[in-house]
Amino acid sequence: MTDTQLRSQPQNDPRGTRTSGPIISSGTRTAGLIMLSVLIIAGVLDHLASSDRLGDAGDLVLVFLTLVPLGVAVLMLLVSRTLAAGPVRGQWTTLSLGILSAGVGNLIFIVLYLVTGTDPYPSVADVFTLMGYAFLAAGVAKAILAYRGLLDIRHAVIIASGFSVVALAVVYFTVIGPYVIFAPTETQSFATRVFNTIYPVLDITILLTPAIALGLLVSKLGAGRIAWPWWLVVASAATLALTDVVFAYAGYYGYGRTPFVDLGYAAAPLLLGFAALVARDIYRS
Amino acid sequence: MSEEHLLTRGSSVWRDFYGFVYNNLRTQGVSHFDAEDLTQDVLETAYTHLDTVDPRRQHAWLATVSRNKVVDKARWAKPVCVVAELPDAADPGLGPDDILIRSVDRQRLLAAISLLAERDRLLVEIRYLQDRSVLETAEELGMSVGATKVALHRARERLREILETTDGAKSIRPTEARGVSMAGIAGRAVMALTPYIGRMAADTCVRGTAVSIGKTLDTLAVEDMDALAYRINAVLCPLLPSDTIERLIGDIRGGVL
Repeated sequence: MTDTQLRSQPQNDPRGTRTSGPIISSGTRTAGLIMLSVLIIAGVLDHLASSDRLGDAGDLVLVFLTLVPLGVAVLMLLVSRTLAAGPVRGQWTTLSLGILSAGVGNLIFIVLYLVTGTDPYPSVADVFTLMGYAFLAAGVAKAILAYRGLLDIRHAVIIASGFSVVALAVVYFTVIGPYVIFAPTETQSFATRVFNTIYPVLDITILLTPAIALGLLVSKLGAGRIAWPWWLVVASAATLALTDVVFAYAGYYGYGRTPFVDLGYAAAPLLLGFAALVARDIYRS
Repeated sequence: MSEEHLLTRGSSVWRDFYGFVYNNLRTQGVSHFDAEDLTQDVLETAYTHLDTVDPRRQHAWLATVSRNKVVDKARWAKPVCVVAELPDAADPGLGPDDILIRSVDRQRLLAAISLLAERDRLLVEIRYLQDRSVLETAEELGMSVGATKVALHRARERLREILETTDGAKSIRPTEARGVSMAGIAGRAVMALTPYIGRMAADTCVRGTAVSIGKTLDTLAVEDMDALAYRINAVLCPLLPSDTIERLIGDIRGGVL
């Protein structure tokens, strides 16, 4: 057995604790760095494209960023398949299907955009995006219910629901009300207003609220490793909610997608993809 | 049995119940004083609800209530923090970690120390429990004074982490901590589960097994491994893939068989 193989073997300390080297594998760390680098480079290129300094190549950046969820979905489905059959695999598969559905929505969006040359929002693509929400919410709900055997989940759900009410009120009074619902009619179509309202509300109610409840639950576990990927899921939901709110606000001023929004929509699924990789490492550790 | 009937039969019935519940609690490892308190609680509950219970199942019902009271007490009990020795505020040599070490209750401190790695445990025991100087500690362990100071600093940090993670309801009794460090089945299970689900949840899982079979963490034995494995499977199944759980259980088994 080589030194490398020896090092990769689970070791037992005198008290019997499993310590199998670094918990996050070098592959996951590399994948995380690649994701971050891609995000930064794409952000810079997207910024240049938004100021028309890349010409037609600017569309390629938009195509790339729009297809990120699809790539992440494939990654997550592959990771899910490596997990033993059971509830945990079900949780990650459901989340993967959520990202896949959103990715398909993005694919339709970008095809329509390239074919028609206009911003296809809202369009049939949003049907898939909304389906994605259902899957993501179901995945997070499954993860919450998984903690029933260990923790009292009611308090976390009640606190998260309280947060949901406050967050909805804040978003309504600061963005949705003045810049979407009661904005002058000529700035946005009715359908755009409806979807600009629906997305932030869905983000907060069925995605961020369960994610916060999950975060509260896993925070009770202290140093428990299985909490780590769920923190990334919470971060992903928060990123998506913030991006949708900014998108709704930017829409009032006539902006379609800005570099910030493009990056937000790419960062949220990337965080989920990274969460799946971290989860795989932890389950193997 | 109706309340009226119970009252008619006088105190003999309650004496019988008292003895049964008290003995039941004692067999669960509850101390004499706690058993007395809990028995009162159980009988209070019985006084209110016993008339709804099938007379043939009264003792079984009392046993269940007793077990639940023990679990409730373990869950809600706040640790008694008796300050064994007040920190010497006038001592300029005391850092925050020293003050922490000298201010926590001694039993809790001993429990936390027993969770440290071997070298850290020796360092802390010699330096603080035996109250010897850094120089003497260094000589005792064959280390340089500088290395001893650095190692002591790290040991205090780890001790602080343990004390902070076992704060509140997670206070460890020395006997339980001994189980952890001495590779008893409960200790091994807690140690194996902690990295995944945190100390508190791991403790709850193992303690739950012990309580469910009428034992304590101290009395959990090798023959209880199947019950423990069943409980770990039930609790962790939604949280971890089955192969990971099997590996964990294998680790625990490997350490005790």
